[in-house]
Amino acid sequence: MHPLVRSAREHAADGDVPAALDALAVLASGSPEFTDWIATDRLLGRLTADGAAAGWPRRTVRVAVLSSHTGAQLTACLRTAALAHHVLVETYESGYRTYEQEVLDPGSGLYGFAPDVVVLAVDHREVRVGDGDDADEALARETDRWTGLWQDLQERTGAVVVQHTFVPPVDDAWGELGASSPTGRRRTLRRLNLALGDHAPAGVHLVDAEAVATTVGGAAWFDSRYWYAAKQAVGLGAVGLLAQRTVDVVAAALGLGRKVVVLDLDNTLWGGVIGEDGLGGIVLGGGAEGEAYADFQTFLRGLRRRGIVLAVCSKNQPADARLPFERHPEMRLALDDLVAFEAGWDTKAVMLRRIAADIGVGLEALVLVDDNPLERAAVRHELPQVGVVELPAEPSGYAAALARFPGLQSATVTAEDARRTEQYRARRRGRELERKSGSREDFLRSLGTVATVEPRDETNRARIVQLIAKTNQLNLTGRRHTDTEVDSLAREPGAVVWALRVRDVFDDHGLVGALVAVPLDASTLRLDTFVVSCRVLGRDAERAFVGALVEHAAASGRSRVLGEFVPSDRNEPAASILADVGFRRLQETGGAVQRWELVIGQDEVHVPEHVAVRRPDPAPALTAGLTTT
Amino acid sequence: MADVRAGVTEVVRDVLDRPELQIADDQRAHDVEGWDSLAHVSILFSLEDRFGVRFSDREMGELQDFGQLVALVAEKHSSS
Repeated sequence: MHPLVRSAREHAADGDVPAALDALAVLASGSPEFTDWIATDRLLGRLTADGAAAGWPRRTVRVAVLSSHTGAQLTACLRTAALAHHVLVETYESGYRTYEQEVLDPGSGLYGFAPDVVVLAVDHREVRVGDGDDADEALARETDRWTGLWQDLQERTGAVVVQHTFVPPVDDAWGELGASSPTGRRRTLRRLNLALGDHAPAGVHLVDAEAVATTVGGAAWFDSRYWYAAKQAVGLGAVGLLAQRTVDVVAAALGLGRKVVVLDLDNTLWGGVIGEDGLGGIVLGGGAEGEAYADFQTFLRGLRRRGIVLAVCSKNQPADARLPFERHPEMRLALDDLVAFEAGWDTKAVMLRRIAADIGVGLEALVLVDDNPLERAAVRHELPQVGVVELPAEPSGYAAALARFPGLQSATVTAEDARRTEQYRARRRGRELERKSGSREDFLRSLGTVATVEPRDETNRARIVQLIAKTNQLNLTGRRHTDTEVDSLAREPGAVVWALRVRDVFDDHGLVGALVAVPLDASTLRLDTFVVSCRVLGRDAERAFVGALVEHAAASGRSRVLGEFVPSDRNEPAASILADVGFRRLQETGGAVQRWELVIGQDEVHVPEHVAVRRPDPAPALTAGLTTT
Repeated sequence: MADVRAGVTEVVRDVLDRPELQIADDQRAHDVEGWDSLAHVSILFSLEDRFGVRFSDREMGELQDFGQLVALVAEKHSSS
């Protein structure tokens, strides 16, 4: 038995029903396990039987489940899932496959029940499109049928309507043609899902059942043994997650969603402890773990754009806590992305209360994201209304854990959001046109690539060494310097050690390049090491990077830049970089190293016009080696 | 076998929310209070999930009494 179910039973035995329901609410906020959820529903039935739960829920909601298949397990899981929102659900279930009659007959039990919410739990077998049918006609007919049912429901009940989209069966007789042939079944089902989304009026919401099926896997979603034995169209291993998503949409539609994501900092937004490890010691960007943290921040910014509000709550010195936001180049979140910033040594419960009060929301609007299990347990205990995400141990799983946490859906978009969507659509149409008619130059120009050159410092030195160690393709010399070796090269007077960042209109690619150049003599700067990650291959960022170095050499009074190329079996893509910029190959001296030169003021320098280069200023400061502290 | 019997009993108790339930081997499922056809399906799935076993098409429709269920799970579990 799940420990939380056991704990709820014990509270129930002691007569403490609210504590029992709080324990079950934590269970309902996690990843659904079928047996636990069914056990929870049974226990819930006992707990709520004699009015003992009065006072606990924020609201009791009447939900009618109209199903095209056996809906009992789904209904049970809906009751369990609602606990995560501190909501109790009273349910009505249509008979097996009687959803249509229930909607069409004004005297049906459905209308007698007077639901607040109607869930249309329907599966692909209900889509009446035959193999020989004209697909467009059949699709229009089916769209009309479903929108007609919605309209009847809305007119007769005023209820919120939630419908599951159709999950195309994977093992049908069409094979791969099912996805592309005009009359292919899977294609038709997908088109119908899209059409239903386009036609859904205010008050009608879709649950993306295909996304649920993808999450649990096809084998769990379609278990045909349970279909034949008990007309279970949705595998029981998938029912819990489907219920969780359904209730999440219902909660958003009823205004019961959560609104504020409150973030811990150390080991939540970055790896390590800022107060101990310092700006250069925390793990963020550059490398597998650091990129997972960076991507989690990007995900959070996405939530913010959708209207979820972000706040920080951290046990830290305030100045330490702010430092990465102000100074770390890999931070995706900025201070102005946040509505509240609590850093100090109060308990998290105290800080969370203050955040809620400061921004004028109830505690039930908050979701805490914190890597520390002790903090999570303390907050669950002291503030059961606050949602607490059970974060996995690895940052690569943070975004999914938060994405699945109940209460963060948006059911409606504001007028402004809606306009934004249209703008994006128009922009996308523009891009599609460009792609059809444009040349490579047009395409590159449309990318809006920005290459930012920055000197080596404590925040990027680890990433520079990593790029030098790992880059194979766009690597001119293949020299694998260590951090210490880079250090000693950097200390040579006039040396240049740079990192390169690239972003475009689609994405921030982060720190993707590095170079080391050292003076050969007073007039010549020698490019010792040059690497650019293949992530930005094909957009000429490497030429812009070399170009920046040539400019720098000119500005520092050098008359020539010497490039080197050491061919390997992997770096063919780098073979033409120097020639493309305008370097000329020197007479061979034999050996593995090709030597190329560019005489400043004499050879023409070819840099890409479509890449905007940002160089650090003033140039002379860059030539100094890194001072170690 | 004793472990399996205890595990099957726990699953039935969990699904039916009857922590004290005692079941005899020859007891037919439908004679146990709360063990209706819907609970039956939930129990089958929970057993598959817990023991990592898989009932055949025929077994899905035929399983009727508790002893039979325990024996079948034990047999499948030991060969898995």
